[in-house]
Amino acid sequence: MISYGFLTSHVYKIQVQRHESLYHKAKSKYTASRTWSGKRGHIFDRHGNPLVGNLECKDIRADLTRMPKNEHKRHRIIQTLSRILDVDMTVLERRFASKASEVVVKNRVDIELAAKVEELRIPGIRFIDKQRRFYPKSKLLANVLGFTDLNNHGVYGVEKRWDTELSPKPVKQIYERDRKGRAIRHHSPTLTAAVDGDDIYLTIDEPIQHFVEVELQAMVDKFAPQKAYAIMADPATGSVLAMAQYPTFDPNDRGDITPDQWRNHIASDVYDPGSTMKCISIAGALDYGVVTPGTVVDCENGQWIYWKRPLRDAGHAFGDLKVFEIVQKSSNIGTAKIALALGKPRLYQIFRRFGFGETTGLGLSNESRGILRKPKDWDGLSITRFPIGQGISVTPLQMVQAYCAIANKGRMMQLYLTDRTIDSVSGAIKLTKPSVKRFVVREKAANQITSAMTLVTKEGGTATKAAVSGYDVAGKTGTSQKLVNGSYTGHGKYIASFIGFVPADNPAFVLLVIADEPSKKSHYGGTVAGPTFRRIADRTLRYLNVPPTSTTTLSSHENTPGRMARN
Amino acid sequence: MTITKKANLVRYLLLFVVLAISIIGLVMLYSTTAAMYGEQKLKHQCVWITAGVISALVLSRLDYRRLGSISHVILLAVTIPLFYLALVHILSKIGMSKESLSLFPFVGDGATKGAYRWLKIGRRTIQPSEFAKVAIIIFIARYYGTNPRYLRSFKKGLLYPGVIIGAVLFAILLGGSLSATVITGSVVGSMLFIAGIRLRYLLILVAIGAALFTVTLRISPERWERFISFQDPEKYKDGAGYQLYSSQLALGSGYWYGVGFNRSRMKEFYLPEADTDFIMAIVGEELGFVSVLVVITLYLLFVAAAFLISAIAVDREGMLLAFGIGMSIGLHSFVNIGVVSGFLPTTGVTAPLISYGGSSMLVTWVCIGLLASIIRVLQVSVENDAKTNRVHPKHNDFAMASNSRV
Repeated sequence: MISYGFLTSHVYKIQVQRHESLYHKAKSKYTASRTWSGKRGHIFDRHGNPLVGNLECKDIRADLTRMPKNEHKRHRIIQTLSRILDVDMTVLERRFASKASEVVVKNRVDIELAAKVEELRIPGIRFIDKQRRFYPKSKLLANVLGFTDLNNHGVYGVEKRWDTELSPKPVKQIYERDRKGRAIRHHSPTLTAAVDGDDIYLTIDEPIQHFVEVELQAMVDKFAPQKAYAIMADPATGSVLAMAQYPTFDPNDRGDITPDQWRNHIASDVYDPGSTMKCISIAGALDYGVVTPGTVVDCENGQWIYWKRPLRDAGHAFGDLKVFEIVQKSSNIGTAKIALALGKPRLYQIFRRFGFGETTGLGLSNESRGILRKPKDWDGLSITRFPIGQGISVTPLQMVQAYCAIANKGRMMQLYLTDRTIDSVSGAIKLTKPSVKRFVVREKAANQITSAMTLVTKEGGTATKAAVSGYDVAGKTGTSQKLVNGSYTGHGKYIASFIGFVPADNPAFVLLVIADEPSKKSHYGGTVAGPTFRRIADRTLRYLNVPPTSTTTLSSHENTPGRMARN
Repeated sequence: MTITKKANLVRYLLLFVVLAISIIGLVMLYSTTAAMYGEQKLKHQCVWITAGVISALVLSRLDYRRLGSISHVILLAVTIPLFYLALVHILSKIGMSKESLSLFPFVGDGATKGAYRWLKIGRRTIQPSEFAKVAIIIFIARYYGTNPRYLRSFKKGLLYPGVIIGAVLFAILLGGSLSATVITGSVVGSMLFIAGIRLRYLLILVAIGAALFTVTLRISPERWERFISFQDPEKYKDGAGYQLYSSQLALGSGYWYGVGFNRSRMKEFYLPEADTDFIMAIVGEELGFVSVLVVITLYLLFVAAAFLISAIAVDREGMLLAFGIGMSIGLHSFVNIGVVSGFLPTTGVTAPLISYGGSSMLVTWVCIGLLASIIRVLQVSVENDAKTNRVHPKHNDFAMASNSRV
C-alpha cells in the first residue's frame, strides 16, 4: 500500500507537476512544418505561345536508416539505382556510405523514371514532388529567357529580371506527424493554398523569333562567324519582337554549356559599330542644320590626311559627294568632314541623345553601357573616327534603339520586353504601356536621313542584297575592323552588320543583323548581313501582312552581281 | 457479517473489478492500435479474452485442490519449455548461427527483443514464463498448504522446494527475463512469509536473491545501462532511455484529464510497445492522471479482493493460493505503472488485463478462475455445513500463520 502511494505520487509528479515542460517537449517532437511551394509563373510570347513552363518531377532520397544493412543487398540496390537513374556507381556508393540519415540519390527525376524506381519498392527510398523549369521550344530565345537555379530562382535573363513576379509565394504549414514523418490522420492541419507565380507575356513574337533564328543559323553556316546576333524591335512602340544569337544553348540540357553560350551578348557585349554609326552622326548634322541632304562634300578622292593620319574610303575614290550620297556609298571622309562641321560638343550630344553611353533600360542582366568617351577625353583624331563608328563601342541593343528613333520620326521609345503580366490570383492583367523616352531629332531630319538610307539598298548603294522586293528598305551596312591587341588593322578580323527598317516610310520593324568575325567567303556588311536581313524582313513582312509600298519589283537580285560592298 | 455474505460481497467485488479493468483495457487497446493495425489487434485480444474467460469458468467449477494435487505435474509441464527456450537462448549467446537455431521446432525465426521468451505454435506465440509464475504459485500453495509441518524442517521446508522453485526461476532467468524472475521471486518470498517459514530461512533466500539480482544486472552492460537510465531518461533519450522518455512525454501530455480519447500522439510510432507493456502511458496521455488513478484503484481493489478471499478461504492451500495471486497481480500492476512512469527501471512487464498479449491475458484469467474456485469451494462447504447442521469451524489461517512465525 505504501509503495503504491509512492508510485501514485510519482505519477502525479510526472503527469500534473511536470505537465508543462513534458507537454512542450512532446509537442516539439511531433509538430513539424512543411512548405507548399506553388508553381512558378509561365512565360509566353505576345500571342500566348508557351516559351517556359513547369514539369512535374521528383527528388529521390534514400533514408539510410531504413535501408537493408546487408552489404550484398545494398550493393544490388546501388547497382539498380545507378542503372535506372544513370548516376555513377561510385558516387552512389560514397553517398550510401555516409553517416547522414538521409542522402540524395538524384534530384529532378522525370516522373516516368521515378515511377520505375517506385515500382521496385526499395525500402528507405523516398520521393519528393518537385517542379522543374521546362522550355518547350528548347533553344528558341534561350539567351533572353535565361534560366533558374535548382531552387527555381531565376538566375539569368527574363527568369532573373522578373523573378519576383514569376516566383510563387510559398505557404508554410504546421502539422503533426508520426515518427515516420507522415501527417497524423485525425489532426487536420490548417492550410491556405500557396500562391502561384504570375504569368508573363513577352513582346517577343514566336514565329518571327523562329525565322530570325533559322536565318541567323543559315548565315552562321555560310560565313562561319565567331558570333552572330539579330534583333528586331517595333519602332513605334519600342517592343522587342525577336532577339537571337549564336552561339546559344538548350536550356533543358545545361550539362556542360560555356558562358559564351548562355550569356546574352546582345545586351552585354559591345562592338565597334562601324559605318552604321554614320547615319547617327549625319542625322545629327541634319538636325542641327549644319548640312542639308544636298550639301556637297569634297571626299578628297579617297584619301584625306587629318591630324597627320590618313583616312581612306575603302575601295573607291570619291570626289564631290552630296550628303545623301555619303550615306549611300558610306564614305568615311565625307562623314568625318560633316562631323568636323558639327563640332565636338554637338556630336557628343547627338551620341548621347541617341542613347549611347547608357543602358537601354530593357532590364536584362549585365546590360552594358558601351564605351563612349567624354569630349574632354577625345584626342584630335576622335572627331573623325567616332562618327564613322571607330573607337566607340556600343551594344547591339543600343544600336537598335538608335535606329528605332530614326524610324519613328525622331521619337525614341523605351525598349521593353514584357507585354503583360497576369496575376495568378486575381487574374488582373498588367499591360506595359509604350512610353516615349525622348525626342532625339526633329521629324524632318529623321525623314531626310531615312530617304538617304533607302538608297543604300538601291542601285549604287552598299547593300543591294538587302533590298526586299516590293518594299522600300531604309538601311545601312557596317563593316568594322575589330580592335585586337590595340590595333584595328592587319589581322583581318571584322564585324559585318546591317541595320534597317521596312517599309521605310512606315516601318513595321527595325532589324539589326551582326556577324562577328565571319571567316568564310566575305566580311562585308552588305554581303554577309545584308541577305540575311532581306530574308528575315521578307518573311516577317509577309507574316505581318504589311502591304507593299512600291509596285516596282526589283529584278531578282540574287543573280545580279551586286556592287562590291564596302565600308 | 456471515461468511456467506462476505463471500458474496467479494465475489461481486472481483467481478466488478475484473469487468472494469477489462473494459478500460479493451477500449484503450483499440484506441492505441486502431490507427496502425485497424481492428486486428482488438480481435486477437478478444480471442484471448474469450479463451481466458472460458478457462476461468472451467476452473471456477473445479475444486482448486484437485488442481493442487497435480501441481508438480503442472510445474514440470511449464518448466520443460522454459528449459528448452533457455537452452536455445544460451546456444544463441555462445554464437550459434540463426540458421542452425531455426532447426529447433517452436522457436520461430529468432530472438524477439534479444531474448527467447516465446514459443511459436502455429501462428500464435505463447510465453511459458507467464504460465510458470502461476504454476509456481499453485505449487507453493499446495506444498505448504497441505504440509504445514514441513515448515519447521530445513530440508523439507526450505531445501527441497527451494531447489525445485530455484530451478524454475533459474530457467526463467536463463530465458532472458530478469523482471519476471524478480517478480516471481518476490511472490514466492511473500508466500513463504505468509506460510510461516522461519524468518532466518527467508532472510537467506532474500540475500541469495538480491546477490543474484545484482550479479545478473552487472553482467550485461545493456541491462545496466537500462537500469541506470531510468532516473534521467532525457539524458539517454537517444539510446536506452528513449522508450521511457517517450512514455514520460506521453504521461506528461495528459495532465489531469488527458488530451482526449483516441488523441494520443505518442502512439504514432513514437512510443515502442505502446499497446503492450507501455499501454498505461497512452491511458495517461489520452485520459489523464485521473484515469491512471482509477486504474491504480481498480488494481488495488483487485488485490484487496484476492486478499479477502485469502482471508476467508476454507483451508491453508486456498489461503496461500489467493494470497499468491493477489501478490502477483499487485506486483505486476505496480511494476508496470512504475516502469511506465519511470518510478522503476525499464523492463518488460504487462499491465494485467490491459496490455495486449495472449499469455498474460490467459494467465490472469486463470488466476481469476482460481480465485472464483476458492470462493465456490467456500460456499459449497458452507452449504454442506448448513445441510448437516454443523457450525462452520472458524478458520483463521492468517492467525495460525502469524502464530507460527512468532
